Amino acid sequence: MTEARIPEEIMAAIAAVRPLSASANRLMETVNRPGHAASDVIDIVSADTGLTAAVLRTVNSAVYGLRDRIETVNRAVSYLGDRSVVSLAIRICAGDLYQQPLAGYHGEPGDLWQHCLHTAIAARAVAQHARSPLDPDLAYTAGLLHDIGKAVLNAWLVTRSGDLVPPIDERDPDFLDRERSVAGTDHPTIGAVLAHRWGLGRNLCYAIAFHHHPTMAPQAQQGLTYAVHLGDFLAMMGGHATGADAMMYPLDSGYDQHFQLDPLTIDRLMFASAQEYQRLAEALQ
Amino acid sequence: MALLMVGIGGLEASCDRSAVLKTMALGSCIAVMILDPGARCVAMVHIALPDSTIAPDKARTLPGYFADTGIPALLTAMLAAGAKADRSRYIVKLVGGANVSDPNNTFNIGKRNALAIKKILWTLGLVPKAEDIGGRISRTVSLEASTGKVRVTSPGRPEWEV
Repeated sequence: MTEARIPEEIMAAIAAVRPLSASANRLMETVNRPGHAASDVIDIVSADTGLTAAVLRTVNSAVYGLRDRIETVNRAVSYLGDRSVVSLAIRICAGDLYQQPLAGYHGEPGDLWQHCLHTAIAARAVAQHARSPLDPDLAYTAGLLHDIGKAVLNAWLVTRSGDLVPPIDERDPDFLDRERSVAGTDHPTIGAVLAHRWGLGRNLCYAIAFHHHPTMAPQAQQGLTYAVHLGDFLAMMGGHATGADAMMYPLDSGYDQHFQLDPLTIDRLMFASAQEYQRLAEALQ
Repeated sequence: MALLMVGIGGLEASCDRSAVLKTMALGSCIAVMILDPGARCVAMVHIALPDSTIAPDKARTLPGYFADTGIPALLTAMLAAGAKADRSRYIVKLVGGANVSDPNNTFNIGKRNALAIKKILWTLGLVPKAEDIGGRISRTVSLEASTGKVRVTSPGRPEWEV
């Protein structure tokens, strides 16, 4: 995609990231395919012992409060739903990326996972208010992956004992400029290259690449990219930022062309997303 | 020190002089803090949204989630903890309410939270003495009963007082 814009050292850091598991890749492809059968998801989970164990552990956790234990993948997947299963798969195979201390951003361990999970839920909720057809489950997956470039950029910063603060002038319009001045690139670009290497489709790659500047996405991916853009803000406003960058990105007001939103709807989305986040975060622990 | 953590939509009130009330990661949410210097009581609520009509059931179980139910519930909790009923001596401080600039005025939850909170305080005869509202940062805030000090931290910045 945009590898030419990335300094060599950071390209090496991207190359060092482990590939996603085959199960995670196949799950994302499957759940983002409209009209997929539940048995497709069950087959993928059943073929992966680690994922099977995680799915059964999650469904039998106290959060779901089941009276009788669920012992089969079939019932567990039906009970949890596709989104929880995809979240588990990504967390299992990229957990080291999501859980690392975000020292470069002055964030805490786990901040990135919490932020991405909240963004995924909010992006899915926003997608349901699209003026043109937009797959909410694809928005969820894109939200889960949108900031993966921060993990790579952070790891590179830490090896150089560097960070992205200070100085941060709160009046700076765009924190990406800060990343570019320190690293010669930014987290959406890094994330998109990593997603491309992971074999993710163009929808996800573009949504990751342009989630802070959705007007730059190709027309076909703009709705999805805006959904992630807005979900990102809702997560940050809801208290799940990733450190010092917080809300220091511009909001692209062009979202109005893609979504039917008003202040009351936003309050409802904020509320519903926060409730679902709380439930899912606890279940996935 | 008795540390009382206040979650989103939570509220705490205490007349224990060793109490420290703390809430974390305020984005567009606002922490409303009230001190009763006479009774040496402190109280804090972490308000997420301006209006409870979007989720009346939630407002019943967690009134602190919304400005219109959270502030009356906070005052009730203060009285139950031992604060004096005379509100004229109360000191009110506000922290949080980060806000994104949106020309459509749709995503400005921080601003709408602040307006709703100030309006409700005003109807109850209360005016904030100090506030650290707005901007685009995440804030964690604590209130010490022994000193009445409100301390704010944000990732990558030195602590400050409000």
